[in-house]
Amino acid sequence: MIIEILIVSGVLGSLAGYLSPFVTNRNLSYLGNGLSHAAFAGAALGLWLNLPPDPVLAAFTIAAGLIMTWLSEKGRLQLDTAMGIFYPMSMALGLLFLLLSQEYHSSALNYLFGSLFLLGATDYVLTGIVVVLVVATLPLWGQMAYATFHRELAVSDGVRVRLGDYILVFLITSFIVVGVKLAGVVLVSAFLTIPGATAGLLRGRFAVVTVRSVLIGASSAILGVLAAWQFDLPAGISIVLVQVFFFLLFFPFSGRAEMR
Amino acid sequence: MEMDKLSVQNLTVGYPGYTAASNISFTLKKGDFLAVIGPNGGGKTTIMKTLAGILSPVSGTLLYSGKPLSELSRRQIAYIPQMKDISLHFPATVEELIETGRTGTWPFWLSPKMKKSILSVMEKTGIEKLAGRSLSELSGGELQRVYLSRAFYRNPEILLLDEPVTGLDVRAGKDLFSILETFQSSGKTIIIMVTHDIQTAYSHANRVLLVNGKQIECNTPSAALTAHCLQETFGHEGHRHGLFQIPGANHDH
Repeated sequence: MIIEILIVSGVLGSLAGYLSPFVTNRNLSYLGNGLSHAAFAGAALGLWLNLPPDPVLAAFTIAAGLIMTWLSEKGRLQLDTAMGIFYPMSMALGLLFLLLSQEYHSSALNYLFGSLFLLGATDYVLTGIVVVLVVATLPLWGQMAYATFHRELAVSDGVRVRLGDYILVFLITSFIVVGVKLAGVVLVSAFLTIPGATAGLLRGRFAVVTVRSVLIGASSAILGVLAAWQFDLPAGISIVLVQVFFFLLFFPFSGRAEMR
Repeated sequence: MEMDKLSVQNLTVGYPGYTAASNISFTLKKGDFLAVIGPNGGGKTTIMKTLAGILSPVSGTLLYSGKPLSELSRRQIAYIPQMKDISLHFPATVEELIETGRTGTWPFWLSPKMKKSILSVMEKTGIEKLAGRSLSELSGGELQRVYLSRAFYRNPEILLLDEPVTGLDVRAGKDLFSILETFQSSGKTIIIMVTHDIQTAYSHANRVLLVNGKQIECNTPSAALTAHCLQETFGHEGHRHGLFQIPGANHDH
């Protein structure tokens, strides 16, 4: 069982590592936070309604991601403001659904902090589907990277930046849907932030930073799962601590020009 | 007759619910250098973004060689945004940015052949010493020259520059215009530049568009940069800042 968990954790870590440089360079860290809490509200709603929590979680999270991107794109709200509203609202709704269900759900706590034992055959299949989605959108990497560098310049070159935005949010949301069981609501957003931030500490091109981030994401997930297995910890905690360890390890070597 | 001409007729530009400038009309041929001058908020940058295809025109027509400008391949227009809009944190090298001039997408990797081709462009624009440098290490003047090299690589029909000399010292400004002169002397490119610097417009452009929410004048520098037109564009504030003291300009009253 541990082999399967290690493989799926490594794949999830790689997926997060691939998305992470986009998240950090587009200042989307809040998005991961907001969406993971929407996932909690979805899971709690499923538990309250006695429905399988995972499909409700997925539907709730994907809808939240698309609504937040739409609101931000229409200029109605800044993305961080939208997150500032969505984040506590989702948490409040999740806790309300749990209170209304009038029975104790131990799995709800697992959703908060992640557990190796939540992962099952369905999650392996879902992880595979997300891998296929990411691979299918790889040809758009250049356009999404260009829009990340300079949105208006990319538009002036005919890049369909809105399509790229929606694809990126869809991939981030898909990762959260499958990653929330491993890492937990509270910590899954770190998967989308820390590998990219760590990889960006060292000089290099965006492509190099992305490859580095994938390696950091995968290795920290595998090491974190091994630590969780060994010390009987929630997986999210050990993986995030390994990620932070990598960040601190590389931090002394960072050197970016602060001013031009 | 319309070949290689950019024709802008009754153009109104802006954002949903907001008009930045209206009734803009001018015609330019290859080799022309148009300076767009006006106060902050006068609509200069919005006009540039509309020409660059970033914004759709509110109304009016934009034609190149008799066809809608939007039908012109995006590779035939090179847009250089304001330097303040460039991210300092994005990890990128000089060569990567120049390569986007050819492909219009961000390169995952650069083959030796690509690098050689980029280096030859950098040599032509005198920035070969910047090879391998990260964008975050460059000065404003160096970054402008990288953007111009990117445009040079593209060999565009239309070159759009939004306030390229803002924040540059005298030498960096001179370097910039020496590259622009290469474009101008080739006679193959229409150059449109937004600037606050009236002296620069007078020295380098052969056409000047004055805007302040609407078109005030579009003519040759000596005909457009009159005290009357500048006062209409900038109001009385222009006098205080010495805007109207242009050596050789027409100081009519």
